[in-house]
This record gives sequence, structure tokens and C-alpha cells, in this order.
Amino acid sequence: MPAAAAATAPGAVADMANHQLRVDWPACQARGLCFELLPEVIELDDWGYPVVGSEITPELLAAARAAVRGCPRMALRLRPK
Amino acid sequence: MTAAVLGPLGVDVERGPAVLAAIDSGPSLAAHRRWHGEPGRPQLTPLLADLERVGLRGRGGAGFPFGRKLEAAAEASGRPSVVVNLSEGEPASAKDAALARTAPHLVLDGAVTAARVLGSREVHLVVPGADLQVRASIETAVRERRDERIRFDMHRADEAFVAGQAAAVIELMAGRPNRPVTTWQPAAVRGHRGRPTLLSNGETFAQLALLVLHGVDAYLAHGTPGEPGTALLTVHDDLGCRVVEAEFGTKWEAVLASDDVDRPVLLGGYHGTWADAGELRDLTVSRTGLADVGLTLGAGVVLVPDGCPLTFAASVTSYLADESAGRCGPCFNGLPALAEALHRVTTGIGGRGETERLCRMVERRGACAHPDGTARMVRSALTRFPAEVDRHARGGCSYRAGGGG
Ligand code: SF4
Ligand code: SF4
Repeated sequence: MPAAAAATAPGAVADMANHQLRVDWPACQARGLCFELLPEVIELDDWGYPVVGSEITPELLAAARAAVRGCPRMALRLRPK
Repeated sequence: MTAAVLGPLGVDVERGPAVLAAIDSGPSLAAHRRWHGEPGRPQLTPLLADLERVGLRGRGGAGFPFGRKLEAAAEASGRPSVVVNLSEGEPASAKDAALARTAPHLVLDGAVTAARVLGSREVHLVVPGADLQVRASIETAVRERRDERIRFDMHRADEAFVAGQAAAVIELMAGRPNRPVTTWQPAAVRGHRGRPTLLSNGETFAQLALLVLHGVDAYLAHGTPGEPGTALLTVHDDLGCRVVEAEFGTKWEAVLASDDVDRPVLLGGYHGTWADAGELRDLTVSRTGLADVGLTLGAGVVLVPDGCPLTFAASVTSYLADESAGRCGPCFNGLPALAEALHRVTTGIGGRGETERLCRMVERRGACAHPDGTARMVRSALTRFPAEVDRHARGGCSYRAGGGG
């Protein structure tokens, strides 16, 4: 894709920026599925709740989206930084 | 100084220089108008400029610039609501109750002004459900304003530490349990019924009213050039509990009972920070001056505990752990563990490293700032009283007879 087209495609600009993965804490029930889907960023705490270690870089965006979709409680959200 | 005695807890309210200047003439609308006059009808832009000039910040604890909040609510789409939060979840805070009982019309003038500026006709008043006197006082004040074209809606908050948190208040207004939920946008942008919502505590609206009623110059006459105005403090010390209005820049020695500056003081309430014995001697009532040395004014609660500050910090932490709304895993698991670890520190059976680890583990991991505030208070106790921590580790305590360890 030519560079100009990439820059105007919807979503393309956001995909180049870092994202923040936020947890809706009252919704999260510590099933730990997010940890399995995104071990690069997520660890589990003493009680099995996710600890989000860092921002989501563009390379990890696809895996992070999979974690968001995979959370059975829909407790994860990706937000542009 | 004249004092009104409030409620069964016997909180004294002292007459002050601005917000509490007229309390001797009673809480009626007529008395209020005699002292303060009628508020004008400011337009948004000049009001924002005035707010910027006097640097008014929210008085609920977080200290967010009020003008920015007002501007955000004005710019967001949808008709904004105005919410006056008088609920004071923190049991040690009594300033909004004091305001509601001694100067309710100052609070209402601020709220009505904000509503008019935002083109709204409704003002929501969130009162502590358990405080009948506050409720009665606000109900009376609202009745006195029957002919104003503003609708006042009352909401009764639960008696719980986190019930006064902004998102919890929005939940209450929606008829759901009065507890925090995750929010993805500030209430000023998306709050009550998804509309922009200007939610601030009682004192903030009273300060806004002072600015509108008496003008910028009168506001600037109090405090310091960098921090104009006054702040309401709820002081707990050997003299009991009292609500005082202090100008910014007032020395702590003048606020506290004699010699209390030479004792450890918890500033900013249960989510606040500890000042070491004597540390306040060179400091003043100043948000920025305190921040420079890692202290916070919070919502103005000042506690001088009787006895060991470390032990006091541990019992406050246990209380805060019980007050977790139990909704967010890291909070309802982490705070009891944190309280337990700190208890071990005070009883000399380890726990120090674990306390620090748990502070890190609960921070920024809840729907509200309850875990963050708790960790802040705990951490400041450990860093402010290292010698006391060591003494406790050896089974001693310098506040116990023969416990020098
Ligand atoms: S998958 Fe969802 S519910 Fe499970 S731990 Fe992760 S965020 Fe929580
Ligand atoms: S962080 Fe704690 S107090 Fe706040 S909503 Fe969650 S469980 Fe309740």
C-alpha cells in the first residue's frame, strides 16, 4: 500500500501509536484468560487478577485485541495513548 | 470566637474570614443576602478568566482546577447537570456538613450560578443519608428558594467511605447502588444520564459563590499571591473536633492546638500523608508548599492522633480495608493483606517488605482511588517514621511507657 493511502485508511494511524490496556476491575473475575492470550504484557497477581505491565506497542496490538475479545467478562479495553 | 455546635459528635464551627464569615447570623436566606448580597449573572468566558485568576481548585481532595472542569462540562455535547456533593464519605471530614448547616445558601448560590452559566435548570444535591441535620438544613434552604427557576433534586448517599466518590455518586443518581464503577471518561464529559456533569463538593461551590458575590479583588484579599483564598479544615486534636477556615499561607502553629506541630500529624485524612513531629513548624496551609515536601492537604482533614502514629496508621488501614466496596479483586484482596502486613510491622513480626510490595500491587488497580489513597497513607507512615518502624521491629514503641526499645 502506498504510504499516503496507509495514512488515510481508517484505523491505520491509531495502529501506529501505542495503546493502553485498561481493566474494568469490578467486571474482572480473575479467570486469567488474558494472561494466556497476552503473556508479553500481562502477569497475574497473588489472587489471579491481571497486572498490566506496559503499554501496548504496535507489534502487540493484534494479540492485545485477541485478549480483549477473549476475556469472558468483557473486562478489558484498549485505548489509544 | 463564636462557635456553633453541630450534631451529636459535637463538632465546633468557628467563624472564618470568608466562607464562614456570616455564620453568626444564622443559615437563613435573608441573613445570607444581608451579608453577601445577590449574585450577578456571569457569562462563561469572564467567569473562566476569574476562576483562572484566583486559581480555584476542587476541594473534595483531588484538587483539580475547577475552571477546567466547568469549561469541559460547557464544551461537551448535551445539556449539563450540576451536582453538589455534600456526602463526605470520610468519617473524619465534617466541613461540608458544617457548610450545609451554617452557610447552605453560599453552597446553593455557587450551584445555581454554575447551572445558569451552563444553561441548566437542575441542581442535584447529594447529602449524607445518615445525617438528619444536614438533610434538614438543606431541605429548609431549598424551600426558601422556591421561586427561583431551578429544580433542586436531593439524593441520599450511603454511609460508606467510597460512597462520595464521583462515579459512585453518579450511580446513586441513576438509582443503582451507591458504589464506584469503572468510568472511561470524566463526569464533566459523560456523567449523569450520559450527559456532561459538573460534580464538585460543597466547599468548591461555596468558594465559587464567594468569587461571584464579592468579585476577584475581594477573593484575592485573602491568602497569598500564589494561592489566594481560604480553605476549610476539619481538625481533630486535643481540643476535640472543629471546622475552621484558614487563609492559605497561615502557619500550622496558628491552626493547631499549642505544641501539636511537634507531634506527628496526618494531613489530608485517611487517604492522606503523615507529617513528622515538628515538620509542620516551618510549613503553612498551602497545597503547593505541602506538595513540595511530599505532603497533601486532600479535603482538609487534619488529624493529630493521641499516641503512636504507626499503630494509628495500622488501625486506619484495617478500617479502609473493611471499607473496600468489594467490587475490584486487587482492592478487596489486597487491602486486607496490606492491613495485615502493616499490623505485623507494628507488632514487630516482619511485614515491612511485604507492606511495600502490597502498596505497589494495589495502586491504580481499582475502579476508584481507594486503593491508591490507602497505599499513599501507608507508604507515608513507613517513610516518615523509619525510626519508629525500627523500634517496633525490636518490640518497642516510643509512645508506650518503657517502650523506647
Ligand atoms: S480474562 Fe478478563 S476476567 Fe479474566 S483475568 Fe483477564 S481481565 Fe479478568
Ligand atoms: S477500588 Fe476498592 S473501593 Fe474502589 S470500587 Fe473497587 S473495590 Fe470498591
